[in-house]
Amino acid sequence: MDVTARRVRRRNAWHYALYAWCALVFFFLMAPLVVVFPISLSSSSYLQFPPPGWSWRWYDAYFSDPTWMDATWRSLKVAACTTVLATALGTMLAFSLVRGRYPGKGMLNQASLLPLVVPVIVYSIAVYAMFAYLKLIGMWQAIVLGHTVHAIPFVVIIVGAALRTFDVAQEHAAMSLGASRARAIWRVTLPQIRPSLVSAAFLAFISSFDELVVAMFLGGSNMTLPKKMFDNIVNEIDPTIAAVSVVQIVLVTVVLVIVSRLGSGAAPAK
Amino acid sequence: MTEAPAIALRVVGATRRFGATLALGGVDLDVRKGEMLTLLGPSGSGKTTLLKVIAGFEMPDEGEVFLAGRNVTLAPPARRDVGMVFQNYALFPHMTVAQNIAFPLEMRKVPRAERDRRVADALALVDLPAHGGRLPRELSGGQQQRVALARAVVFGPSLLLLDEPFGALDRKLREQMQLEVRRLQRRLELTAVFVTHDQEEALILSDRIAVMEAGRLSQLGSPQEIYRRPANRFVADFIGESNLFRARVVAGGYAELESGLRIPLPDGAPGPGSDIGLLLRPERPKRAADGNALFDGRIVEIVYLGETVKYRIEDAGGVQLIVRWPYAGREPPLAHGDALRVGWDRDDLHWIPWT
Amino acid sequence: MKPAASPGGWWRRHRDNATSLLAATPAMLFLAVLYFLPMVLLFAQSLPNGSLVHYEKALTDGLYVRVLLDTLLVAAYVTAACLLLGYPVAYFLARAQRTWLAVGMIFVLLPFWTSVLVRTYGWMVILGRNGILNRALLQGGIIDTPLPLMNNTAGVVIGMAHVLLPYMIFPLYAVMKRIDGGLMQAAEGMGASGWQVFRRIYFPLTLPGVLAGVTLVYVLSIGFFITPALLGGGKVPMIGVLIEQQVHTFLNWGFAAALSAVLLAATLAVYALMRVVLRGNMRWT
Repeated sequence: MDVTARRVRRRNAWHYALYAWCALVFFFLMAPLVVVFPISLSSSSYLQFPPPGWSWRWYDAYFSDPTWMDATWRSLKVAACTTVLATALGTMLAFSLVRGRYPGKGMLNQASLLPLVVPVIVYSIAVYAMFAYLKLIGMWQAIVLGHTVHAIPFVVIIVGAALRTFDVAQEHAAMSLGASRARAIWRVTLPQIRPSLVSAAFLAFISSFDELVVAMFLGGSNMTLPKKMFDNIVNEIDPTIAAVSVVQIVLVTVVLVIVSRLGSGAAPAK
Repeated sequence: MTEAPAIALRVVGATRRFGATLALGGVDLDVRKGEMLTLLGPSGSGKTTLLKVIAGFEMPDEGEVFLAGRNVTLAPPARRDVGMVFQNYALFPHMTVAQNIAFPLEMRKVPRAERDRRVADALALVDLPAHGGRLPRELSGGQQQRVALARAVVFGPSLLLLDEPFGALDRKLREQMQLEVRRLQRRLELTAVFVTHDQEEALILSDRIAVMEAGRLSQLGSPQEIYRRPANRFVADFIGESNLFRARVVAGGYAELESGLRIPLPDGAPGPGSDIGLLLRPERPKRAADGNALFDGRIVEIVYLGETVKYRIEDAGGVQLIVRWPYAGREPPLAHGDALRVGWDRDDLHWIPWT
Repeated sequence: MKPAASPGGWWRRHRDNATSLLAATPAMLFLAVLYFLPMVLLFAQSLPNGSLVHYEKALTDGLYVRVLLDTLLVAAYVTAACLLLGYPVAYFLARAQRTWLAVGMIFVLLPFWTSVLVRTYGWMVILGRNGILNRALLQGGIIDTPLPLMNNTAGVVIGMAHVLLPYMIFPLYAVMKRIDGGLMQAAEGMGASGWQVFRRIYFPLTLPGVLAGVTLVYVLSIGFFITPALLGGGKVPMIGVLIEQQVHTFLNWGFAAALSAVLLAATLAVYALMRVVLRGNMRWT
């Protein structure tokens, strides 16, 4: 009896400790995100905390500066193209890997996941060397190619997982009812894996929009947004960065909400 | 002069290997127009593979498939004009019931108005007239089953295939659906091939049964033939319950068991010296007067089954015989240890080669 | 009737698999030309005329060996930090019900989806000499002089741990979610104390998740560039930073290529080790 009471009390103590620890970690996880908000509204040019006054000047500096807007536009362009390309290529590859039976499939599966394994810096200098030789540095299309290569594994994993849990019998049923394989996939399979397709596209978009290292090497003087942010941080810590960061955070949150409305799962497949 | 029955489906020498396993070993099969033929066998017997070959999801390594005279061996499923009901129904969850049923008509480019009419007819046929607008997940298992059926027949296929469709249903529903499918098939005069491992189901539903074992056709015949005259030990074991004795043929038209018990053989049995199996269904023996008894023993086990009762009789030589008789409940049943003598007609006994 | 073999049907027979292969071809070509080709070319650059001089320098020159070892060490710190911070959180999430689960997930996913750059910048604001943390501690009288939390290993570890924490939490969560709570209850019913239940039953069951998370975080750490570059201020040379330097500042392509090959080898070695240790199926979703 006494042991149980002691146990219950001890267990409660552990529970509180657990909750306290989690709260701490959650605080740790959110801290840098939260910090950026007040800094972006500070009236001071220096990193002062708490800010001496409030002002929209840094947002103003961001939105009215053509080089910032240029970089933002470039990033959006690159991310959009990456998304389309990676989703198309990756989805076809996923179908092939999940449904097909041909020699070398196992190796192809491993190969398609390689971009996730190899450190980005290694790839970046490799592709930089190749593109520099081909005189493609500075072109935003080159960045699209570099980003797509990294987005394809995400698409393959997410769409692949959806296909594996999909009941193939439905495709067979469609075929037995007169549909060609392509039509069966179009009318029956794709509509049902749409949430995963959306997740994969979202992941591809974000991975490209936020990406720095490849863009740094391939962009040259035509910078993407992350590259411009990086330069700004290295050269001078001016709160414009904070404003840009806030805009990014808000953008990501909005897209996340939209995407979860379209019925995708929250946890990434890594 | 009777005409030979029209053949709707012909399979010739179908062979299919998966690596080292022989899934189908040269199967020949003719399915007559308008009949319901069941492919019956345990898992691994090749029945599902054969169905897939007929449907077009598998292609045989050797052999051919002819549907209504056309060689469709290598044709894709979409071109075979076959309706199929799958094990888990495979209804499209993102489409309504009506859209599901309309799908094959859409694939055949049937114009809208006629499509709607035929969908309505199909729904009426399976007794779900008001359910067109529902989604599959809103329906019960039995209702989903009927939608799957409607979808498979709405476009008037020349062959209907059913792949163990009743596995997921409970017993009562299963019996109901079995009769419904049979009624539907007769009414539409559809040729149908049904796959199952349940021998009772096969006996209820079929015009003919094809019993399969290890990729080969063991026996093809009507339910009565299969039940009363199984061709070999496998079929005998698989269908129904029976007494099976190993015996050797001796002179004078008798077979002798190891225990020494002699049993008179029907006509046509092989000559003396052959090893055979003797098959006797448990409902065939009758209580015998002393002189006619072919088996004389004591009751060692009684199993009461409601409307029948089963007795296990053991004779002096240790041989056991199971008899099953209807039990009306009026006379007291026999008791453990009672003597029981039974006899049977010579023709009730069926012999098979002993393997 | 002798069954006829079906000649001329090779395409029909293998149609499905052939189209599958075809579907993979665009992506395959894309990866071949834009991924494998550059990597092969880079590797070729590291061996000028087949000589191993760059590798010698990378693996024997004290300076660079130091960098390699430091990288492995920092990665270890980061991994340990992530495990310590992440294990309880994963446990909490695995047992949380709907609302708490959603809230917890937001706390983990929102930073995960935010750009590394933004997060690193946030840490710079917090950890600097005049940063928020030091300001608060000074004003609170807890310390007299500002803590050096930036431009050193501590800052880098904090920043990297923040970025990589979700990569520890997700595999752990996936494994923990699968553990049958009945097992723990049964053990307690048999008289085990809370600690014993944890040590003998729960922790061993979570081991696959621990190994997966540890491997993932470790491997990602050694290749990191952004966070060490910004929070390290040049004082924390990790191999990723070194490689960038060799290319952008010194234009030393051959050497950079050799360093990259060494980094890649280390990465693949750790991954291979994980696969051997985990061996069976490890599903993370």
